[in-house]
Amino acid sequence: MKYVFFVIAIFSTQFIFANPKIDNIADNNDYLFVQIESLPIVDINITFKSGSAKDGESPGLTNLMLNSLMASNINDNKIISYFENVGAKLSYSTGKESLSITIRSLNDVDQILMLTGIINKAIRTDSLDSNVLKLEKDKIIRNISDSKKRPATLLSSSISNNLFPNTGLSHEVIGNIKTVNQITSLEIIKHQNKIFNLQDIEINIVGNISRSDSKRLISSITYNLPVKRTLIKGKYAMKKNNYHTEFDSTQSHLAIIIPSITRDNPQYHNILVANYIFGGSGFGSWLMEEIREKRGLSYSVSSYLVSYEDEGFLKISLQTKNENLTLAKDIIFKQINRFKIFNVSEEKISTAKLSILRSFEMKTDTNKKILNLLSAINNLNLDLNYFETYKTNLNKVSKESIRNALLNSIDFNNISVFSVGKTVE
Amino acid sequence: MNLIRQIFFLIILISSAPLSYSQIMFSDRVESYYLENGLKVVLIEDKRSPSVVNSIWYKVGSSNEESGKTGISHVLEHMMFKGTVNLAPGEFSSIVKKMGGTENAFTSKDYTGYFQKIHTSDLRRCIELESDRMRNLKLDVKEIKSEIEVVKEERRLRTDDNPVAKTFEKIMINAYGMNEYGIPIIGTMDNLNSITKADLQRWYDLHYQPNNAIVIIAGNFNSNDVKKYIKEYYGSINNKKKSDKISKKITFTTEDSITVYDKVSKPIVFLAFKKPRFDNNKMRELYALDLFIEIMDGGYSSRLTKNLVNKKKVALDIFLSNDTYNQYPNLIIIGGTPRGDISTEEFKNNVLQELSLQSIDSITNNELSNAKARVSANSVYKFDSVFYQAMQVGMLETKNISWKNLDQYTKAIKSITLDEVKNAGRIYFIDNKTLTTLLRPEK
Repeated sequence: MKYVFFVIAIFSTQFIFANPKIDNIADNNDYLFVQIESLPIVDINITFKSGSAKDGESPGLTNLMLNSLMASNINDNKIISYFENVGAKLSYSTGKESLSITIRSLNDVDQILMLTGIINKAIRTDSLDSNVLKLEKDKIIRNISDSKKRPATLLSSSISNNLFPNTGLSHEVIGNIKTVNQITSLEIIKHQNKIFNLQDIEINIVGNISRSDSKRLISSITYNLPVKRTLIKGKYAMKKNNYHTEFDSTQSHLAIIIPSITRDNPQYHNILVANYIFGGSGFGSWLMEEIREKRGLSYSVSSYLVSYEDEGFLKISLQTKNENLTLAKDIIFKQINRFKIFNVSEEKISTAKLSILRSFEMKTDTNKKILNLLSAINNLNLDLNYFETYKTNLNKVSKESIRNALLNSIDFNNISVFSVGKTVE
Repeated sequence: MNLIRQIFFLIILISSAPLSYSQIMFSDRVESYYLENGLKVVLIEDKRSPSVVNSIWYKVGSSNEESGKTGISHVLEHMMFKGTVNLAPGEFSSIVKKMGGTENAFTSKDYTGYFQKIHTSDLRRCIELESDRMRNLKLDVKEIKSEIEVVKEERRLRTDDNPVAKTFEKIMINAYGMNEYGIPIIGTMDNLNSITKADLQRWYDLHYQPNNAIVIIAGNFNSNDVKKYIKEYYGSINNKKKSDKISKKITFTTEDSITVYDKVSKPIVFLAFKKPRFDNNKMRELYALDLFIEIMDGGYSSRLTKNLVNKKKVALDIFLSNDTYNQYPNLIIIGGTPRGDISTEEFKNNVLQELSLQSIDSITNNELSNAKARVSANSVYKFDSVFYQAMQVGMLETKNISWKNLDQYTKAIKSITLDEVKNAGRIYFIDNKTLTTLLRPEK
């Protein structure tokens, strides 16, 4: 009966809404924690600051390593079975500049400690089952083969190859068939020993768990990890390039890349508001109005800031039937010229700012969203007063500051265009 | 015990007791009722954040459509953003955007839904806007023409250039023809080209009325205020005359096996098993079937992956799709990719072996207990998202199944026995015909 009372109390009490309070654990800003007691759930994100950009001579190495390790056995049982047998969730993914492992569990601390202990064993293992490696290779090679038969993945691969040639970003996370085939267990273990270390780990915990228990979880995850830091910050020289890939599809996929800033640049909030008006906010944005609402050319069109460690760009993308590709491209370039001039009323800017601020307040309505925000804060080394500083910085944005940012932080002279589809005469 | 001691005792209990997972239920926070015009209202309170989801669900989807006009429910969903007698095209979205809200709509085989996630202070305005488009939609020929082009682009993106989605469409048409769940939600290209303003107006008049709709509000709101707003904005909307026209069944022939060629690198095998509509009288049997499916494919450590991918090495991957609450006959579909040189026939035989009597009879209590743990934990996780809470209620209520089933499901699952699970497996997989579809790399 007492439990019922507690649950009812949680959902019927009017709380005063404060931003989630972010704490670090053990005075270490790589370990962040938000306590939320309203549901009996704990979410954990473990991120290592190494992704496919650090694959070196073996594109696909980091992704194959993570998939193989997570598909392995610990004490004769599959890692995933430890999670699924108690109703917990395990997911993992490799990005270009980081890899992450995510756990969701009911808030039984002993159970979570068992699960984090399993993850610790997995990332410290010194051997890899050859059957597991073979299966993961087969799966990845199938995915690579399929990616060559889909316009969206062909476009993504074309952008990576042509925009960042000869850098860690030039290949897709899954790598290529030749290199994936050649990767050995030994190479994986060596790579794993290099990237799983105490200096390059970030842990984020959200949910119904105490600070002291969070500390125990962190100790369990980091147990016996080496201290060394071996990774060097990425250096990517973005190259202007135009590239069309001929492909037999009903639609052409188009991406227009405008060099811009990275997420940690002080101009970020100016670009955020400008892009909101340009193409970052769905219906009512200039791109959506001109492409979809007025002409019905595409189901979706958008622009957003892509940020790597030392390069950033605005990416505009859409899909349209092959016959309409040139028309859509022309319309987007007209809108880019409008964006460059940015002759927008102060009122429109104020409305955009207000909308972004109100939307921001609602971004923390689930534990999962808070975990994602926490991971981003951790990854970008943003300050723990993120919620306040975000609002302060956004409030400072004006028409003049946007125009300055567009002038100095966006390179309109080096726009790249990529497309995939069937050329129609 | 005096009052202070009682309160102190209660505080001790609350702060020291772990939360009981099983006690999180919809019934603790849901209130539902009808307006006089038949509109059903479901209020789900969750005050964890200042946001609230305002949604309306119409009991119309592609399964209600007629041959020749497939995709009309989805086109109408798009047109609902194109203005009313009070609002210009796009103005609805523009208002929600200024609020910092997010909005969208979705069409399924059974329902069409619209929602806005907004700050609680904007809820009244959104209720007003949603009620406005229930009765005042303005269909403009130029807007229809443009929006149908958008829908055709959506079809190209999601179906025509997507081999797996296209194959699923063919599987459903092969099983049910252009009837009920056989009708593709997005419609065929030919049918999309033929939809007129008169068709859309008729569809709107037939289905967009209070007694065919459910308002679901989930999140942070003041219950008394919300009830007042709902009555104020929806209470005066009258029902239009409902057509008693029953759509004609299209005759069709189901092939036991079909082959599709498309842009895939390796063949994919789909095995489909027909399943009757959800029936309250067979509830335990259907819930036992859910557990059987959970044991077979509820995760990467479940039987199909464990045996076919990891042990026998005959599959690269396996997936299974099933809808518990289908209001028309539906398919349970098991699919996967044969590994290496394994033929599609060999792959199929291996899957069927996992579904054989001998295999079913070997299910253990331990497997059942693990499956129940996953279902039980999921019943807690689903409360993290306010939107998902509204979705779950809407997905049932539009099929005339009470939201109360959500709580009953969690309770019932715990009491399902091993024998019931095995029996469900026998009924739906042993005594049932298999429809086979092969998606092969194009020649």
